[in-house]
Amino acid sequence: MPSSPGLSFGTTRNAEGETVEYDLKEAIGKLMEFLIKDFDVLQEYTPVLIVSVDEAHPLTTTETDVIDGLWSRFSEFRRGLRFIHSYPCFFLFLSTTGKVSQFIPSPENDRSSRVQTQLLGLMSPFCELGFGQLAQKAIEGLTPLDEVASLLFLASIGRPL
Amino acid sequence: MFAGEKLLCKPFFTSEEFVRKLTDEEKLACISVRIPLEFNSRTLRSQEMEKNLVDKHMRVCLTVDPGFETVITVAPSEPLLAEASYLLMRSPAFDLPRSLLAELEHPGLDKGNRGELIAMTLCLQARDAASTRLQSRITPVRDFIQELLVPSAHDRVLRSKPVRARNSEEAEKTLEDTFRDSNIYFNHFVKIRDRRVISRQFLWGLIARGAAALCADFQYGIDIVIPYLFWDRILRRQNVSAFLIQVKNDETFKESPQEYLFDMMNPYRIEFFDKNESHPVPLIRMLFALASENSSIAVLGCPERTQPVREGAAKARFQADRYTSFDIWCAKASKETFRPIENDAVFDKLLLRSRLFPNVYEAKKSEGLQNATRSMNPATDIHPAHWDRFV
Repeated sequence: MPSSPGLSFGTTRNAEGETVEYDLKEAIGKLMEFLIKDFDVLQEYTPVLIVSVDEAHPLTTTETDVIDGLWSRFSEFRRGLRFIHSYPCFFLFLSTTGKVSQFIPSPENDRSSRVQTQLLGLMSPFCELGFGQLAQKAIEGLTPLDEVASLLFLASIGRPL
Repeated sequence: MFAGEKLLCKPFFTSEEFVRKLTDEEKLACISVRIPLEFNSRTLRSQEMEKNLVDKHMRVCLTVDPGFETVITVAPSEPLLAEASYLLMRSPAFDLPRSLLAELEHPGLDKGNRGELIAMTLCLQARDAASTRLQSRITPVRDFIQELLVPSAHDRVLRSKPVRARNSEEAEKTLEDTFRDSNIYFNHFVKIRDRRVISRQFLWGLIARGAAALCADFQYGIDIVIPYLFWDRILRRQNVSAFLIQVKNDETFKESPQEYLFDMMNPYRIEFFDKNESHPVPLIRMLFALASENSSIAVLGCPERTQPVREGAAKARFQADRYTSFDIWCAKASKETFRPIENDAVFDKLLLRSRLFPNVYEAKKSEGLQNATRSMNPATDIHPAHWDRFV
């Protein structure tokens, strides 16, 4: 796996005028230590943090920079996330009106040269998932009517809201 | 609450004030998650309405053809959304029949020519009334009947005996005794696309979703199936019975029962029971003759023997049948027949709106225009204007 290019996290001043240095890797490490007892970055965990970005398609708007050329907030976001891929966190970008190609372009159209040369691959999009992913199952001969008529059961049926 | 917000696409409250201020579009969103409404999208308004329901009110687009000419959308079975809708509909400020009428005044909604929409509305209102009174989503069959039919008919219906029975024990039991332990759970209707779903093999699953069924277009003998659990409260195939309802929006069906219509709801013929059913439970079959001029509720009785029993013969007083059924004929969409109806005029209009024909002609301003329009559809009706140009 090729290593990620270095990210420069700038320093900025907070509301009190103090200088603050942002380091994504350090921040996520601290969060994982808080969430997982005896966290070890070399161990494998199931995701403990899932961040969902709803209606994410405006992030994909392409802009032009005189030095770096074409870029979008989404491509920068993705690059930042690449930097913390060893940590058990997962980001979901949801869009109801965008195009799949905005998030998952074909490799030759991707902003990243490593994706273009297929050193890195992208995850396939999740689309047309159907409904009832979280539905509890009624079992013939066992499940009572009172259970299926409970709010807990009927909330599990249909699309996850 | 959250489901309600998703359904309305705005903050959700159940106060009368809030319900009164719901827009037509929001009311249609509430109705369509409980009653399957189909758009025929003949008008720009209906196309726009359908699009907005998908965009903001949880309607689902199943497919769009490549040229964007045809869009097929549905309000799928989602009991949580139906429950949110019920919280609004139980408010006195939500007049379901009037809201439905307001929407049907505009072309674009498929109205169902046999008045199924009206029958579903009545059943939902009866279910909601029972559910609100008992503070429970599960309602006994008896309470559902009491909320569906006018109080003056309750005793007669509940004390009636089956029109046909499998054995003498079932033949002697009244409707109330037969269904003493039977319970209904549904908060919405779903339109089924294949008649084979009206089998107990699938219907117990429908109960698990809190759904009742509007039958497939090509299912002629039966329009609505409301399944319930007969023996006890455990979901299983052998425990499923149902209200089988046929709806007529045709004034030739009057207050006197036509028995052949019940024969079309033979549970073996429609495959509700398997051919060699081992556990055929008693059923309730109803016929809604909505366009009847006069109101009546008739419970069909067991036919008398045509041959008198020979003296001393040990013959049963009835002929054993393959199933036990209580058959009820309900004539006229009126407050004298159905308990949920408060205003006959609204239902009269709903019945007319449910008939595409002859409304397409009668909507024309003058008789001359009506006749001209009739002549454009020759030989399809008894009105002379359909014939006099060519015979």
